[in-house]
Amino acid sequence: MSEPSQARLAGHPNRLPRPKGELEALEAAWERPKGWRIVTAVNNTVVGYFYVGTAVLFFLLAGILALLMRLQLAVPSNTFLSPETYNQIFTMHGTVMMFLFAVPVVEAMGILLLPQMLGARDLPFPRLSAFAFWAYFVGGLIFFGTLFYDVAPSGGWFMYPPLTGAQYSPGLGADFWLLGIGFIEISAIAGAIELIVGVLRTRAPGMTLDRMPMFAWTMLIFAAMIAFAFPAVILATMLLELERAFGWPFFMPQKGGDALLWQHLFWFFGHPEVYIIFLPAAGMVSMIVPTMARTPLVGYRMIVVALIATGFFSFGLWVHHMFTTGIPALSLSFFSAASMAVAIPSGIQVFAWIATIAAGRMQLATPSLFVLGFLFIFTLGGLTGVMVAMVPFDWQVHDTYFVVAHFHYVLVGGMVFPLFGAFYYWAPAFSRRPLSERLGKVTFALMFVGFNVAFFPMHISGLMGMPRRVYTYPAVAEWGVLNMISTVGAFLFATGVLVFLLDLVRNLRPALSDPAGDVWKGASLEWMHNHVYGPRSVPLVTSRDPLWDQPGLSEQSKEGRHYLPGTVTGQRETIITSPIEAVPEALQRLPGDGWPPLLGAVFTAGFFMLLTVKYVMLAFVSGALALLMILVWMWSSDPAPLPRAEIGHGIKVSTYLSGPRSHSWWAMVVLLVVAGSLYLSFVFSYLFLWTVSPQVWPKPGQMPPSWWPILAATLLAASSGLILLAGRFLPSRNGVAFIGAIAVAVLLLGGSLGADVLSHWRAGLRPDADAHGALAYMASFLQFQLVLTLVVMAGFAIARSLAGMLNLRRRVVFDNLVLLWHYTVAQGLFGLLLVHGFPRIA
Amino acid sequence: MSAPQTRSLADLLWLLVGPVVWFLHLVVLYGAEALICTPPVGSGRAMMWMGAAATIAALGALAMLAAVSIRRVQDAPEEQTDATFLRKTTLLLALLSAIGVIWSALPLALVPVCASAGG
Repeated sequence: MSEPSQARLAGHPNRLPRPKGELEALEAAWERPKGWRIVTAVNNTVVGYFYVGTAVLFFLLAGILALLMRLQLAVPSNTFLSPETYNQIFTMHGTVMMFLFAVPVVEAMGILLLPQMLGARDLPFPRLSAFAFWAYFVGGLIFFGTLFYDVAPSGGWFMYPPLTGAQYSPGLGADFWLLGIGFIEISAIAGAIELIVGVLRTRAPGMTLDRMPMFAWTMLIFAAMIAFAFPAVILATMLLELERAFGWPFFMPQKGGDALLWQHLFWFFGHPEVYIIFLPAAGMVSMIVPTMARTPLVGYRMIVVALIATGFFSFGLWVHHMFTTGIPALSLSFFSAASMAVAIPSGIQVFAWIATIAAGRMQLATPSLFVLGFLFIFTLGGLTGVMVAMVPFDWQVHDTYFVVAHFHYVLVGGMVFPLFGAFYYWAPAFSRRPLSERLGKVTFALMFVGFNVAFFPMHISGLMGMPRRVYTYPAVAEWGVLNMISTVGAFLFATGVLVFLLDLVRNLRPALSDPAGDVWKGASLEWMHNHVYGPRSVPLVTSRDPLWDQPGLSEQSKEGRHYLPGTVTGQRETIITSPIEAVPEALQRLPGDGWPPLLGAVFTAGFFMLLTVKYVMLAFVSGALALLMILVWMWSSDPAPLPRAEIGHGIKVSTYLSGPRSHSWWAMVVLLVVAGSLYLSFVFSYLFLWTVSPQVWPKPGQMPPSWWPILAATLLAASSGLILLAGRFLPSRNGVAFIGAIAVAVLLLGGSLGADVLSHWRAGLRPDADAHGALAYMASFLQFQLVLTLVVMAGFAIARSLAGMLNLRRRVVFDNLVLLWHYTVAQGLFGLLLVHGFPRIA
Repeated sequence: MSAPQTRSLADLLWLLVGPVVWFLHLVVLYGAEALICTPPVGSGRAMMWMGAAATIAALGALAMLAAVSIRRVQDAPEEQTDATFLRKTTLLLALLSAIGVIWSALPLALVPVCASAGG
């Protein structure tokens, strides 16, 4: 039932006069906090502004670091920066650009743009977005601040051990990287959950998957890729931090570890990361090109195919960062082949854009210039990418400036140019004034010329053998001339960014209502008359380009002639629609502004940072406060069901969903995907280290007696059974049995974990003895994290049931507990099988 | 007016089947290489057979997926544009995945199997 039948279209738009006070009530519900209290705003538009602004700040900071490096490298044997400072600066430049600029800025653009583009009032978990932003803001600033105290990491943005192990990096720098970046990854995952559920469940009615704006497709795939890729690096940071702090030898070859394990885990994240930041940028291009060419996007379906394929293929490329590590030739060839295969979907997109440009008449405004610049630079980067995908060529240029040139062409071309195009394109949708076309063109010219002057010569200096990550170089060959040209180019590029900043100061006036609006005559919903609450009324979408094909839509929406023209419950609300056909299913009440997400994030950051500087007690106090804030926030979520609500046009929808139809259930499923992905990375690590050092694995006779794991497994299974039973007691009349079942289940779960750890300890296994011991305890450590989460969630569910806020109907808290519980039990059973079973058969 | 019947998320997940087959094929090749090419097995012949079997299985699965998608496109009522959209996209992804599978398997024929990096 995807096509709106005539019956559903009838009555659109609603021509009846709107009741008095409807608009005023809507605006009152969405009123933003005044003055400095704006920091308590829980709304994706406001948080989106903060988020984009902070990401741009980190772009500038990391850019300044780049200029310092270029100054140092301008002439041979320069002494402007000391070697240690240079190492810190190149490490921070890469780390900040990738983790504090590139990923956050595209996530931020998603959080800012998607509600408007999808016709939603807001995405489903605005507090999660606020939490993600503040965690990133506080964590990022502290992380950057380490530079000023000379404790910044200096082992490169990829942090390879053994250089970053305790022996060669004894200071705090590496710990700041591991805990700081691990923490910021968690914030990225929180944002990704919001984006996935938002794109699938809060689209305007009628916006079926095949009518979804391309940017939304790319954000969906982007967020899914984060859910699969980031856990690998989170696991890697955990392993390295445990090795540094407690001597668990995951990466020490003398104890059966392997430094290559880090490279596998890091690049299993790191390569998809390139596409994680490229795909949303491609999505921005796919929005800008049709508007500028005044014609629908050519090859919509082929682009969707290309996006999904790129998303997958990018996970099969990680070994191409490791071509020189002595991996067997056949393995290298598999990944070399996959590296070339990814050129196919990338090529499909490039040709689709070129075809769209050819099909229409391209208006050469600033956004178009940036798109053209992107096509030129990114294609060059793609070509050198195919070159380095060839193993023999890569052996020649590995660790030279050729690679530096290649990835800057890909990353700056593929992501920074589209992003600047996007800033110019979407500024009128969010600012009272558009940015200046004149200054925009100057910005583009300086950035484009500056970029090529800076990075093209690096291909040559690389081919001439100049290695990367060196703080200076001797006056040989033409290295000096080429480096001087690169430095001049870098400053030209920076001048372009300065002109952009000038433009922002002169023209950007962020607005929560009445922005400059549709200056480009765009096709998608963000160009309607929008407000902080999105459209006044949510339109019925019947086309892929609604504003082109549904005349008068924007005016009708503004006059309240479509769905949800006011507020039904007096609170903030948005429509939850089905994932494929976008049929209205429910009215979700959204939370208002408040302190808990902000304070929760500050205290969470405090926990990680205090732990880094080894104030353990203070760290745990901060962690407890963070937990308290999150519990305060959770307490007011899951409001009581209300009667069915009419959202207009005679459609009545539920105000409460539970089980698989609930958006909250979906968020939990995404979280389970993240947890499962992290665990799979662990299983890979276990098997990988076994193939490297089978000699440290115990003989069957040295294993704990088999009744230990059988006991642990029985306890796990029994706890799952009790949770199922608790579900049967859920009717409030049997509250005692419900609470009892959950409490006993918690004890069984904890008992199972204790039995497992005890069995290893009694068998004489120690985590710091060898790689096998470290991995066996790591399995328990990962299980411990989940058990701890479940203890908190179980206590929360018990408290809700005592407060009469959990019953057969109002049950989302319990449903989510059940999901995580069964996952934890499944992971625990698998862990027992792996850790106790595998050494017996290997 | 009640909401019309909606399709479940499973329909969306069909999109991912082709690429998942491609990924599993790569994992099997890479894992087999790690296990079969190192002592005590160390057999290039065993690796060839394993690779060929995995490739045929993957291509067979993709062909089945394509056949099912084609049938479902033909069966779908004409007005269901987004249903045919999903199935045609599934079909194209199966095709692209098949190219990826063949591409990943080519090294078995072109590169000395179970040789070291320097060799």
